[in-house]
Amino acid sequence: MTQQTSAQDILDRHFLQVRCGILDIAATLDRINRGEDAPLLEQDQRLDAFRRALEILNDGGTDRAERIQILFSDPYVSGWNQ
Amino acid sequence: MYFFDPHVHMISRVTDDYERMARMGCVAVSEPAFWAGFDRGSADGFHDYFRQLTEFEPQRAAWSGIQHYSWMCINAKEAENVSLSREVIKMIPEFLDRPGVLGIGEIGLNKNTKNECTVFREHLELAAQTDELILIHTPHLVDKYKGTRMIIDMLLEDSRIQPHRVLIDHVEEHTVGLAREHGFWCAMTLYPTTKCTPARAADILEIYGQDRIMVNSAGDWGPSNPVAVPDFIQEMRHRGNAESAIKQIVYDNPLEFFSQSRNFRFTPPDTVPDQEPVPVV
Repeated sequence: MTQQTSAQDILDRHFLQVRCGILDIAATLDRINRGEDAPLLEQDQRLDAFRRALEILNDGGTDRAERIQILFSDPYVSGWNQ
Repeated sequence: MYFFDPHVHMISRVTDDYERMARMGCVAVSEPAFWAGFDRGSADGFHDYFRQLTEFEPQRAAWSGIQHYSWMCINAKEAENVSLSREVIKMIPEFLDRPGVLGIGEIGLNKNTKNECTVFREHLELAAQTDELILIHTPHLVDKYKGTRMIIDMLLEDSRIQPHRVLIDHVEEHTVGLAREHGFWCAMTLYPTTKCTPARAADILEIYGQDRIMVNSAGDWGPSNPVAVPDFIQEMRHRGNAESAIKQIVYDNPLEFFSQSRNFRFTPPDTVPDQEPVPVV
């Protein structure tokens, strides 16, 4: 089964949904920064993961979803069962 | 379009959900044994749960014309209690030949602990002894990638486990390839926030193809949607997919996988009522 619609059609169909998603992310990050203890979270690993995920979003390709999944995953330890 | 929901916890849903599902074309559900939202206190609690899965739920499903199948196990979360798990595993054979019991599931890992691995391997031993189908729960979120690889390692440890009789569930972008490269069946779960969406599931199919894969709602006591499979059907239609291609994912593939179970007796929806239903082989 191959992709059956053009990039133009996909962009037309999903533009508003993605715009909404980006606004949700922006608003949430703003909300965090308005918190009284925001400076204390500068080194929070979750926020660092968000920043790295946003970099992945920006660097193109067709495997960003998979790379972001790995970013948010614990690493596999080879030899764990020996 | 007729469809299966191959993984849904109807015990935690109201009867109205069966009716909604039926009206949207659901003809059958498969219900694995799972964590009820609290840790059960005894093996007797599991015994009553297994009776509910195999006795009452099929009746309740039938009120809406839905055929109900189930799976037996102690789930990965409660598997942290090894002694309780062993009592439950000892009890499972009593249920394995009941009508509609498809095999052992949903076994797997939760936080990828040593105890969970012990209990997982003991379930595999039981499944191998009685040649059961196996349905696998892969962990949520941060634990999924590591846990899926550990699960596959353990499956491959035992040559009696046949990949075509194993369904690895809740796969996502970073784990679907792992399941498929070893010949296992897999399923994508259309569950809000923590798992996949209909659109991402359709993307995964475009990349990996339509063999040995299905979708489910895993509807349960959390915020979830028991008609997520129809949402997926609609997404596939929006993308211009043929009805036959969609039917392969939501009907033909579940039918093919479940037909491997000795206890799977299914009456196709187009069977004329006054004729004897033909068991699907």
